[in-house]
Amino acid sequence: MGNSIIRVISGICLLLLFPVTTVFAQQLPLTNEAAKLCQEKQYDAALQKIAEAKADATENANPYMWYVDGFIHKEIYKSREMNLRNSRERELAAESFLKSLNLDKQNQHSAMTKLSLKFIASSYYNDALLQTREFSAGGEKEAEETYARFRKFMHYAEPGSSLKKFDTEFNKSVGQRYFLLWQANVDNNKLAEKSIDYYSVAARADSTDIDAYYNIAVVNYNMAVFKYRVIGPDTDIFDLIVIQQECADLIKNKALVNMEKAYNLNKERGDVVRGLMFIHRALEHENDVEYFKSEIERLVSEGKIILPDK
Amino acid sequence: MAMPKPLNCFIFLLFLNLYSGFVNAQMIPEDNTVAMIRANYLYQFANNNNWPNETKKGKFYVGILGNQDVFDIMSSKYGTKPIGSQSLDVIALKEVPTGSTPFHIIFIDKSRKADLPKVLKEFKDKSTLIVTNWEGALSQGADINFRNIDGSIRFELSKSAMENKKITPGIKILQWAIQ
Repeated sequence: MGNSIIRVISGICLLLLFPVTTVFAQQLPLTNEAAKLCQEKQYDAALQKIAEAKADATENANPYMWYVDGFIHKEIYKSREMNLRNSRERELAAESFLKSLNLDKQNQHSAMTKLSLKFIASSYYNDALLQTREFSAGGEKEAEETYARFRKFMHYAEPGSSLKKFDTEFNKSVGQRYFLLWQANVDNNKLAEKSIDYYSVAARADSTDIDAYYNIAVVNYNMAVFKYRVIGPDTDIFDLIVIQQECADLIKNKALVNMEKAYNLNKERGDVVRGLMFIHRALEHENDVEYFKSEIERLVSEGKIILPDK
Repeated sequence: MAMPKPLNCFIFLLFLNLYSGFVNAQMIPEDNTVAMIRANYLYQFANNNNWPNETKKGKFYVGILGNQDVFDIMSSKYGTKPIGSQSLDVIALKEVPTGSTPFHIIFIDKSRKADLPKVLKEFKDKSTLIVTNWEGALSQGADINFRNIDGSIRFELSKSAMENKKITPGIKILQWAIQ
């Protein structure tokens, strides 16, 4: 899926149009020439020309020169380093766009520079999300560093805009990764706790995010179920009671509380209603089980949910 | 000197929303945890109580009346384990059994509570431990009754009823029964 997404991004990026700059011909001849070379996809020649422009005191002081420099590096990133997480060209593009913004006191070019910077930011965001799907336990730092770059560049690209939605999605994605790592190693509860931690960050970032609450509930409930699954012929009656107390805490005080939060945000979500039914069943809340069973039947009859295959 | 504005560029931004594609890939498992615990308790009752010597021959019979999940877990998880020198035989009961099968334990689920009097009648004077899971069952003649306390399943028992059937409650069972 990741490669196809990157191909889509690349395809869309080809639509980017470089500003055709017959303007500034007199004021910024070297920059203008570099821009033309870039437009003709002669990136190495464009780099050489923009280096000459940097050496020129007048052009170096102009924010447009830095915008063009950033744009060239961005185009090189797109054409050569799109799959490189640590692309140097992308870093250079971002640095130049930031320099352009810093110099552009009259905001003559800031709108297009911010737009380009937003493209760079979005590429970091996409990479951060892809990294969350691949890391091993304890390896989320790389994704977090990439995400931090996204936040930094978005701060300049869209000052004052809320990143809550992105924070939520990123943290949920890390939580999801830890959940999957835990599923592959269910004896390691630290992985489950990490998953809960990240979902909790997501829930704090957006208290209306149903998925975050739902997933916190599922992880806690599953932790209890995995403890129950260990019960067997060798379990002492004392251990049985201790396990139950631990599980009751997970199910009643954590899974139920969070699943109810998800339910209160949307009473029509099949997975949430189904989750509540199983949680109440585990707690032997018979009236609630019957209620949520009937709700599932209603949602199925209204075509709002399809029951998963067993 | 005012600089002419360069042509603006159109940038299509694509923020991936990878998460939404597998957002709730997490599913609640369908394990019947209550049935898991009850099955284990039934096994504990079989192992930790003492039946009269004349019932220690042949198989150790456990009948489950009205709860398929308890039967499934009991038979799959404990079915091959011996109780003392006896092999365990877990039987799913569709109807109230006759007293001809020497059941050591019969678990009657709440959904079949109306069958308790009939079971008591069939197994009168027999060393058959009757286990139930509804409020007030002990006073109706059950020997051990499950209760849910704050999400944990515990059990209450009638020591005198068990002793009348010549079943001696084990120390662990007495220790962990709700007083």
